[in-house]
Amino acid sequence: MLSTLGYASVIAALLAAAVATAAGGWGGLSRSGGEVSASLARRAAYFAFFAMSGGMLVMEIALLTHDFSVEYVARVGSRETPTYYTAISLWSSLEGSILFWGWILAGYGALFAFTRRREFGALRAAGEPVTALGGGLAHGLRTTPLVLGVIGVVQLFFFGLLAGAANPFGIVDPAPANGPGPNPLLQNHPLMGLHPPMLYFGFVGMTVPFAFAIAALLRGNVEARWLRDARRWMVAAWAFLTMGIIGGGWWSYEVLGWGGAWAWDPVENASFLPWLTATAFLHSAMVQERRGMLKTWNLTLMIATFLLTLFGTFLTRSGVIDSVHAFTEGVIGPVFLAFIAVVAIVSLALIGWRGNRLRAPGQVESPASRESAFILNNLLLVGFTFTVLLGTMWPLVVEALRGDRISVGPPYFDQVASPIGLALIFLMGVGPALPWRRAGRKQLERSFAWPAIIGAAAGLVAFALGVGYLLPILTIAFAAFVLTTIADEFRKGIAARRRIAERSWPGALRDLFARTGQRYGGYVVHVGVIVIALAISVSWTWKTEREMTLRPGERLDIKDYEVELVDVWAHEEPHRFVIGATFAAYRDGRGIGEERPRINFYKATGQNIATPAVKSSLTSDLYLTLMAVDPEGGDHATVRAIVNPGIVWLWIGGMIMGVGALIAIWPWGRSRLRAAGAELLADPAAAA
Amino acid sequence: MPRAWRWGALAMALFAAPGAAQTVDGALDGIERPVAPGDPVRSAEIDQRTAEIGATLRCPICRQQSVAESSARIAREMQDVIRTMLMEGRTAEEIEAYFVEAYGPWILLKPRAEGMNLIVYAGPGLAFLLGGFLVARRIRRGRGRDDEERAEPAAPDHLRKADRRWIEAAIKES
Repeated sequence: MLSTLGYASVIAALLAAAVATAAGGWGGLSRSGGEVSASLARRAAYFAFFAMSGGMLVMEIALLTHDFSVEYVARVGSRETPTYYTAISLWSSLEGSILFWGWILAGYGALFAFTRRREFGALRAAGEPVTALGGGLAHGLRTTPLVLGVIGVVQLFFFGLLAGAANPFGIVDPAPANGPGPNPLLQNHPLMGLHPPMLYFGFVGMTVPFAFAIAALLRGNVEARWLRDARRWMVAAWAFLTMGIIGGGWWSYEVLGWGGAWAWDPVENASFLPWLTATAFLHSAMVQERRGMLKTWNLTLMIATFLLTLFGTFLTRSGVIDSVHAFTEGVIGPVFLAFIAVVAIVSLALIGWRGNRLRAPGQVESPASRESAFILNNLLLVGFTFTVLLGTMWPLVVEALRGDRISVGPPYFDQVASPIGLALIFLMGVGPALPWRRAGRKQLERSFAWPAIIGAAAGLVAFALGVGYLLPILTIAFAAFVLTTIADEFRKGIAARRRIAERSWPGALRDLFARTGQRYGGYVVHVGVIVIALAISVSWTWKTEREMTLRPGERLDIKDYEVELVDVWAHEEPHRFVIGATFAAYRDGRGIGEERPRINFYKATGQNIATPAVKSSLTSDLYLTLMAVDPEGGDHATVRAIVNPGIVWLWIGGMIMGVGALIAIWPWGRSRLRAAGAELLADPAAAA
Repeated sequence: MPRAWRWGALAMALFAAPGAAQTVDGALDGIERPVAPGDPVRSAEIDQRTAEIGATLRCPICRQQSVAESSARIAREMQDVIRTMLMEGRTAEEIEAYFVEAYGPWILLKPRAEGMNLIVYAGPGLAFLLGGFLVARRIRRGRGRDDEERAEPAAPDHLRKADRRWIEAAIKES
């Protein structure tokens, strides 16, 4: 019953996507009759969202009521799993993830349609003769149905998967009485409810900029409003992706028990790759906005970002990463690969066909200019993307060509990523302080004298305080350099607002964010990145680890901490056994509470999972993993203790980045619903 | 409580399966390892070098975790092997060779820079060189012409006939 209902929802969404594709394509490319097809495409987008929401709801009901006649529920559900984890097991396996993906995709389509619903009404209300409108406006209007059409094509693919190869609503007959429950790793920590949705919102969100790019190529034009809107969507998706990546690191730190947040695992790399190209776009888009250059390049980055989200999903979902040979066993892998190939070929053909039309006469005039800094930033980010992609794919290439199995792991990535990361940080301090077009010698001295002095001083102080490695010293020096230029930018900006508008300090700051949110929000993001860079280098340099077997009353001391074993215990929960140890923790001789690292044994799958206990503070974390306990039910336990200095700042830095992104896209003092058409009429410059 | 304890211990002993990265499948296999702080054979230097070498070796049953990081039993046994070999005076290269002999090159988290693997080391450098060359050319091409006034590129501000018809129809219909 639920199966039928859910499948019907998917089919309805599939039909709606077909309508959106046809109507959007017709509306955007035909000679006349735009509004009819544009509004049809809009309605189809709403309907697809409605239908997919129905499908989602059905699946959630099936999960929560343990309807094991639904194939997906029979695979990931169990009566013993706590309700919270049952609800989020929607994304614990392939079919459910695709369903969730499809729902978010439908949501983005509907949201985009919603933001454009008043375009024509506003034009009519304005009463201007059509001939008075700029060409840019026409392009803007005709882009709307096209974007909906392209989103429709992507929806066709994902909804098609749900209707076929990845159907979550298959029927099991007779229905089993119980299921195995989700993968134990995915029901071991509540953060699992947070970071996967973030990642999905980020990944799927990249569809909208991609649709903008394809629409622009089909129309052969990119105007100012197109760029502004596309970038807004990109910033939103980018922010979700950032939160998802940082949240994933946090999850891995809290769950996996080895005391780190990032292991260059293919799954992690898959989320990092589109983040890199999206970041590159957010920077080079400013060159296009200001100087009109790099149009084709920016389109390429938007398309590449989308392709990388698909590719990452393919890598992690097809099993190809474990072995090339796992690839042919599933259906999903080849289907995904085919879609990626089609998108790539069509996009390349479009770029080849339209690229010339978009070529701009602008030139970079001097290496000492902001556009140079942005181009260098793009070189570094795209080179970084290539490097991570190469390292991730290399074992597959070798296996496919030679049959050998090799690994490319953290030691390799750390080595190649460090210089690139450092160069990016350095550039973060240079770029914002350079003027557009060209900088004179005096200007350079004025902008960089103080930051350079402060950066060098910070490096020297770090060295004097006993930092023995080059990498953290450079990171600290560059960080100080960057923070000084950012502070100087804020100082100058606020001073100017105070002078011109006679504002108070907070008022001037608000003005800066409201008027130039992209720029100053971006600086806030940079501060977050610097905080993260410092956290990484500090925690790596001073991470300390000890392992000991303790009896009750015995103590292990590590750095300024001490842990004393209190007792070893066990209890049974419906879905697992838990064996744990209670430790009393002390810092500098003062008690800081009890820590209870555990080993969870999941009955259904027979897996043991160690859950660390983490005591966080702003200066350092005490991280305890229970390695082993006495099998006789006795009283001693082996514990691994890690002191991780400054790692909390990794998460704080991530939050700062999120705040920065929010500042950049916040609708400051404007009505969110203001009609785009009216905006263009009131501001003819924007249409040019 | 005691019942759960027995069941848990029994279940863990029976089913403790290798596989997932975080399986502590050695959880109940006895822990009589001598790790007292004063133990003379575990000098800080040996510990440090064990961890360094362990960080370059892959835990065979884990996903992208090193021997040093993993809590899986096999990883802990491999660490013991490394420690023993170090105490016998073997070099890091010899230890690495020993594990490659046993598991194949797959065990190295950082592939040896030889043969085909040179590509994965030279690739990023070459990519940056090529990219840098293209960027430098682009920047240099623009120099020396800075006095020319170049108009910012703009969308054509006249309305094409087809677009005008389209919009007129749209406004009428909506």
